[in-house]
Amino acid sequence: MFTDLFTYSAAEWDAIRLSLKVALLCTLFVLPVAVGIGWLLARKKFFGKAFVEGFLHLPLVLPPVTVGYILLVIFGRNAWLGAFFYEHFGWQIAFSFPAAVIAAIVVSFPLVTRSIRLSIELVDKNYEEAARTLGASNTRVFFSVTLPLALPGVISGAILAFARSLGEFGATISFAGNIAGETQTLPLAIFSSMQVPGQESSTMRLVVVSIILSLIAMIGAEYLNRKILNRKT
Amino acid sequence: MKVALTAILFATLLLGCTQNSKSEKDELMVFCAASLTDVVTEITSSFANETGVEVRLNLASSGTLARQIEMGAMADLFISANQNWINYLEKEGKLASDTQIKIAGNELVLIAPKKSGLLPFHYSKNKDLSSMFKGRLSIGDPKHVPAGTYAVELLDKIGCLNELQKRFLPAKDVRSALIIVELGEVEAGIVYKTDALKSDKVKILTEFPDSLHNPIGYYMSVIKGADNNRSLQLYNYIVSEKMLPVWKKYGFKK
Amino acid sequence: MKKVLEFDIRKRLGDFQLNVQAAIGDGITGIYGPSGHGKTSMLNAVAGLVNPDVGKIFLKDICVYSSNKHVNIPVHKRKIGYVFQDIRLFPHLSVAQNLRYGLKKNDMHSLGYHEVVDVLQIEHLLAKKPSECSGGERQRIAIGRALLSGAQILIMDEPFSAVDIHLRNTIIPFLNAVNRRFRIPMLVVSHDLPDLLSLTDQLLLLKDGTIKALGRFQDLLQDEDNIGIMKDAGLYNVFSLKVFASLPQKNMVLLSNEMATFQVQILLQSFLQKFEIGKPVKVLIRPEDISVSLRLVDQISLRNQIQGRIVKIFTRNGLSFCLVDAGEKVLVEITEASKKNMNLEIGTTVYCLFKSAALKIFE
Repeated sequence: MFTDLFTYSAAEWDAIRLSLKVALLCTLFVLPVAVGIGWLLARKKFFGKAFVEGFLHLPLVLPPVTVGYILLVIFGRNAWLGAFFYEHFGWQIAFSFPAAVIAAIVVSFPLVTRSIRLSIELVDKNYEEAARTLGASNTRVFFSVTLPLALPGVISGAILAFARSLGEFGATISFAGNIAGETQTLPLAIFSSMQVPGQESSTMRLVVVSIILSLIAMIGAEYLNRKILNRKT
Repeated sequence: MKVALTAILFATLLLGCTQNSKSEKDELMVFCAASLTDVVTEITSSFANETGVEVRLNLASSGTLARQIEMGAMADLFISANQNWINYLEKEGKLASDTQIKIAGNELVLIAPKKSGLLPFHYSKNKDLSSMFKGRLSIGDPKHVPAGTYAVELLDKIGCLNELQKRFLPAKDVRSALIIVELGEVEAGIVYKTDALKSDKVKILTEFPDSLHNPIGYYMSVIKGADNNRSLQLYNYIVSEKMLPVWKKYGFKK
Repeated sequence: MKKVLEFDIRKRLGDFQLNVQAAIGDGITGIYGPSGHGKTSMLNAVAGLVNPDVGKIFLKDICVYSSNKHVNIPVHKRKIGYVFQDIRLFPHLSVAQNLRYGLKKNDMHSLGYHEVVDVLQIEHLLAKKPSECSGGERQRIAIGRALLSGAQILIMDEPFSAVDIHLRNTIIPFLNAVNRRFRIPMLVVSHDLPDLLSLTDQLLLLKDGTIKALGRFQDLLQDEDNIGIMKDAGLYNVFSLKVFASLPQKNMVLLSNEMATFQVQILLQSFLQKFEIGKPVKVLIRPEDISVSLRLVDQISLRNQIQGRIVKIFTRNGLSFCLVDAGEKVLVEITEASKKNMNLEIGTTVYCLFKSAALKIFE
């Protein structure tokens, strides 16, 4: 049984690879958008801001399965957007790899935006003002002063997105389905093997990987945060 | 303030504790395969009306239920959509001896969304299923859903398995497999005839002959330690002559 | 003198209105007034960090703001170097990176990097982080950073208040050096008159949101109204003198004005650095540290007794002042009673008496 723990089947490797792919793609897509929106919410006032904030937080408070269902309602083949994409591009969005990425993006977006928004709010506006007097345009101020000083929050946000999408289950299984090799991420694989009596070792192996990946993400985040903090002092 | 907090804590704990005691045994717990949802619900509520004994149903794929029972879930009766899971539990010593009985049969059908352009046809060996539709095929997850296992057997028998295997969209139970077809997310699926008949959003394309797979049988057993008068009362009720029309109504073979 | 900065702006600030008009020339101009009366707000409006309610601002004849013509050149295009009171060096960048922040590669107007580093003596700090530098060093770096951003005018907000009292004066020679070497006009805001006077004679008095006076300090002193404003922070006489001779036996140095019509003796110890004959120094003394007598007094310990004639007498806020022409105009504070008892009036010849120790010198 012990050696069993180290032999991973092809399907198990698939699940691990898939999870990493989804998590990476999700983080890649979410980060720039979250930085932009986080900055907007942190620094600008505009009409309907409260509504935008509330709407943004929805995936945070809704059960993930509900989120998945809502995604199905929007992107399903017979639904509003989904039908449009299917008719014009032949794309089937639900129950596919992109669906798994979309599900991960939707559930992790509010988390990341919160983190980034907070860290931008904490950047002293006086520095931004000083930069402007030195001739920096608003874009330059953002990239040379605001963003570097907000970096710890951005990095935390990225790690949050990564970790959250690694663990995403409810929305994924509802919207992307449990297709081995295509949408069966680690949590789904664990769940599936839990349904089948006699698959204990498989479940164990997947759980162990899950824990290791999360640990790596957390330790990595801590390490990066330390480095940034040292840079400032 | 402190008093209020302690009171709340205490109340929560108490609440948590009281949930678990079923010492009265005025209710029964039945773990039942999802494909029997409608028929078993009707039967058990009629039982409750007559005897005043509440029946709670846990509906999921047979494999999932078997796992739960294996892990020690408190059930009185187990109804599985195939014999394998019954045998498995018997080997594990979880079932009351000599209480296994076959209670119904079923058939597999190929279905499509109601609006689909595909037309019903008579099953024949020459029909190439894989080229009949694009995209995925909705079935129960073969690993733990009997309907899925049967589907795989039949596809193998007719030689389409290699082609279609990569196009499976495995669902957690046969009900979910049906819903996916209803939603139109796939162009075809394989479910029980009884499920297809229930839904007005799908149409049956063809019925698969029984020869293509192991006989579909629903098996019921009493769980070890739950063989008391109450459970047996329900057990007998389910297989009674009186309930035959209900089974027929839903399209099950007896 | 060519006008570098001209503005006429109005802005409502809480309790009062900022309503200022001025034309600032080359050299160093000090903006002086009590705290909270609009000095910083005025600077911020000129720099573009806040918008006036109405008015216009011209920087070297270019209109950077006009409410009529709807012109409002954004901050980052105004070419105004601003040294903030709280310094604001970027903590995540090194000193060298901070300095280079505003440097544009092909800018013809920007000063030489090495020259600026040299004048401000910050060469040894370049690789460090701001957090590793002392308060005075940070201030010089901030000045360098503003200079290197191609600024056409340097604005400094309370450069003397952030630093330790013993170190306050150390920035002054650097500011003078910057002004002389780079010929850049400077606008220095301070509520501290002596420090300001050590830098410049050109003052702009700001109180209650309006400019009460603009001009040479010595000229402003002639106006009684100005005395009232300046008294709030401590009034000073300022004399621009030169080292005339040294009197080693008496441990004294003799200072004299250009035309040798006004001479004072000060203690040798007052000099922090080495000096030579002819070295220019600014000498400050408070009016309340000077006494007048109708006669020369002997058998008295103080070394300075300067003869002069009263050209003006006035009372302000319950205090009496005489302006005495002793070769330089000297403001003396006296009591009402003394004025009566001594029959002081315009034309009376008096002697201004003060101790050498009461003199402050700025080199």
